[in-house]
Amino acid sequence: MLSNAAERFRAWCIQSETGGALWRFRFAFTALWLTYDLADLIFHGTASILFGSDAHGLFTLQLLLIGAQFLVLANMGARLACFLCFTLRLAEAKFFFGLNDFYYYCAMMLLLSSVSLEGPGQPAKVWPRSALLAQMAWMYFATALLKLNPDWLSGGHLFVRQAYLAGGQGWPYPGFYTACCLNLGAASALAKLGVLAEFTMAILLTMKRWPRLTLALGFSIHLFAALALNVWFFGASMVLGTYFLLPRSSTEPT
Amino acid sequence: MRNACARAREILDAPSFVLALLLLLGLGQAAALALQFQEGFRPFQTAPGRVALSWDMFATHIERCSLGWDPPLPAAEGPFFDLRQKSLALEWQAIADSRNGYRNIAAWACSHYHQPFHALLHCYLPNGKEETSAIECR
Repeated sequence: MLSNAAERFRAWCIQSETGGALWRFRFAFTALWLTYDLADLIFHGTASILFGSDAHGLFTLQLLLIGAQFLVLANMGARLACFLCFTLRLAEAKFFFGLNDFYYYCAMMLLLSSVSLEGPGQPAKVWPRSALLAQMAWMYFATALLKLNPDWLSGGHLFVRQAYLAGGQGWPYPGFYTACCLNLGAASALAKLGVLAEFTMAILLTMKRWPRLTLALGFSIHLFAALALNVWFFGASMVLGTYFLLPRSSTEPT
Repeated sequence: MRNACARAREILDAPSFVLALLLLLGLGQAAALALQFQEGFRPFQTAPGRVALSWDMFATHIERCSLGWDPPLPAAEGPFFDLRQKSLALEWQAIADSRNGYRNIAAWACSHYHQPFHALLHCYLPNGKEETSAIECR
């Protein structure tokens, strides 16, 4: 039985498909994070909140990340460049900002660094695409599980973020939204809906059927996070993953 | 050189390498989630803390505050009225996750700018309440 499983795993590891989906995802994912790093560098996004810490170290890391991402986009030593991106972002997370967004980038880039992609029409292994989807499904599951706590379910966490954005940052919530949703009761309802949506995303990404439904749900979750909570790049890269990596038809190998 | 590259690619494409990579990622993230439980997270009872790779986004206890100074801090680039001036409108914001975090920033400003001022905090709390306080810096 064990040898049977090993044999199936070996077969899965060498199974190939046309690499278009992976190629496009790697390009879009890298381009999105390159945009993040360029904007961060030009507008001093993260550097401005270091409060006297090592801004030079961060600047160097950002420059190296930008360079490595250009190499991925140009397909010049892309595998090695992906691994370099993973290492540099890990350093940024470890020494500067331990953000979930950065660890997520690291996990995705580490997986992308294990893919040989010669071009969009060339064959690629099937397993990296499955592993990337599993990674995203696990993230939705884990974050939904951790949100099963009084702080989130009571709406307290959402209330704090939104009240701060409205009162402290002048975030332009529409009048109807301010009237209906900037209170604990509405935030609690939204929070519970959010957990349900994230558990559903985990299931849908694992099943790999209904790509349109999965994409619509993922897009809705992250559009809300962008407009109501000011989280843009992480959500966009999750939506890109769902869009490019999910098989479009039931005949595609996974 | 070409042979070395081909050999390296062969190793990286081998099922044993794939297994090692997937185990590394899978076990690392499972361990991070297990650590959340070990450190006190209990579903429906206790909120998790921050643990890398456990995917605790939006799940932890947070407090947010507006932080301003009166009189404004004499920064090189002009008077510095509040922390919002350090933030970009989108994505990047100068924030802390607790009232103590904001007090630390206020204390940093106290030690950095040698002149008397008040740091004014207006905090938003998870119980739906708001709280205003001031820290005097001499």
